[in-house]
Amino acid sequence: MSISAYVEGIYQNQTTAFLECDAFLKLENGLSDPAAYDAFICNVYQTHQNSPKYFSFLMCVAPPKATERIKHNLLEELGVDEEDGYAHPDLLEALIHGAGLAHHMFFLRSAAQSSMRETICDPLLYASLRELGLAAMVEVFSFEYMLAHASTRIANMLASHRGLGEESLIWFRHHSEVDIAHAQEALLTIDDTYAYYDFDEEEAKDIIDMALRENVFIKRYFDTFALAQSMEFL
Amino acid sequence: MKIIKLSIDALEIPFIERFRHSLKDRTFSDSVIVRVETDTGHVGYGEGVPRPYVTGETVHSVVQHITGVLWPQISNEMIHSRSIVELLMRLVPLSNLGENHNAARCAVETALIDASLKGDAIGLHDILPARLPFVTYSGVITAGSPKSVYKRASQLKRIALNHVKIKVGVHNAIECVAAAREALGEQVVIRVDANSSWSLKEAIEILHALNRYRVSSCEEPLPAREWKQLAMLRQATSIPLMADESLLSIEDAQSMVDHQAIDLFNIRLSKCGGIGPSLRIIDFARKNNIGYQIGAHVGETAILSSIGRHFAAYVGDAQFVEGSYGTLLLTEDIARTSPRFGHKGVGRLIKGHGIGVKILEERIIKYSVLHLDLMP
Repeated sequence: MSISAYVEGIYQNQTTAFLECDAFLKLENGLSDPAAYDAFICNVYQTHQNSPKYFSFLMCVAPPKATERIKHNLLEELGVDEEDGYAHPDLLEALIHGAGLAHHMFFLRSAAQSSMRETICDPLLYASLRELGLAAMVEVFSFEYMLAHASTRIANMLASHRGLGEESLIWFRHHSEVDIAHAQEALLTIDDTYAYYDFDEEEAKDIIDMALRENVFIKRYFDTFALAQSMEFL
Repeated sequence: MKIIKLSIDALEIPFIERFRHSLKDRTFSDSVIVRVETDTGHVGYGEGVPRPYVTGETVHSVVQHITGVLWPQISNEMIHSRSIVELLMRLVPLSNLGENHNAARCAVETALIDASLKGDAIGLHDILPARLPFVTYSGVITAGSPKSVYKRASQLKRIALNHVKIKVGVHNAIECVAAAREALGEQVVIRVDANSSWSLKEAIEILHALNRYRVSSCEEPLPAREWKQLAMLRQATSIPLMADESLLSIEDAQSMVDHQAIDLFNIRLSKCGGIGPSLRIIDFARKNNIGYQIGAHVGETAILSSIGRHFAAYVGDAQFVEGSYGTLLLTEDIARTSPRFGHKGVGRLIKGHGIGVKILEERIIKYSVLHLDLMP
């Protein structure tokens, strides 16, 4: 089994767990309070608002063979890959405005920055960027994979039960279109990284398992309580 | 300064993964956080970790003891950072009518220390100056199958931990330690913790078998306070024995020495009643040539992680240090900057006023399942 197949297996399981968790099913079935839809939208914003920064980091650590792929991804995030492109952070702001949550914007930006600060300040577990890069890569790419498989369902859910118009859902629609390709490219990049940095299989799997040990989709799009409930921890 | 308000919050912070040992299966942290406010406007945070099977305390008993016994003792007293630890040994009683209230005491003591240090704009490192440039932490592996132990040991090897403790039971202890040794290689120091789960006969047999895996110590092999049996086991094995659940007080320490029953103490701040009582046990250990480790309770938050860091750096001669797992176990910690250890288990020294970490009140509120305010 290639290392990307191993990673894809984890992504698949986590995506399924996300789409089948109570918190998501309640949203999708229109059973949640309006506040739960608002919280979900705000969490999506906070999770992805800094994505270009994470892609910039990945570009630094990616092997030469994969640099162009990540560069393309980064330019797309910034909305400069084509003439009439949209910066993804702007699409996320459109989501917040469309949901009538603009009054939360200052708080959301600040929370996203705090989250990034925590990530940066956490002591490093690994000795070099080789291991750290692989760990960060599999976590960042996990969202590409999940969104490729779930963003249409999420957009439809927000349209049906939160009444969001298409102009607010461009970020999700865009990901459902392009992330199938991105997800495949991401897996290719993971294989390239594995080969370029001479990981052995057990080492790579240990790092991947540590990086993906919690379902970040449930944790970030909902909260730690939903994550605990999905594991029957609370 | 005077304490004008004391708040208690019992937290339930979910874990990332289940943590098991022979006495308990945990999925969330259940720390009790004490927050004190002074008449000078300073706020201090403390933490206690009630464990019914260790100190006999529950969240409920901790709340009751703080409310009924400790709060009346401190609410009208002047506190100051100079000699604060000694002052609190007098002000905050260690036990009450023979019952053990160490976690409650630890929570109150550490909150008062934090507040008083902040009041004088100094840090815990000023009254407990570090003798080490950094603190090196052990990893801990939850009880499980040999396969799961191998996997976790292999992960700990990736982050280059030099000391690893394995939680073991009766049935597969030897296989689990063998798996860990295979994954970790020969250089890593392995300890085992039976959490009181073995009989004397089982302990002798298992420790004999574990000799080949070069286990450096065995923690709490027998039911707590079976001093005579512990002494017999000590005679029967060459693996040093460490007391944990058996060691709650200086009296316990004295009993073990009197029975020649122990080689090492596991001193955990909450279990032993806070900084003052823990320092007394360490002093006793040194005088009696007993080695010790600074331990931690599973699920401690940034408050006890930070205090534990200061404490371990100050005492300087602990053989092993545990704790500071932070978000390796908790889905979220309660400090702005995590005091979690990093590569090789290294935890940097913590500076700043008080205990040196900025506590996020919104996280305490988020995870609080019980809140109580006390005022004079």
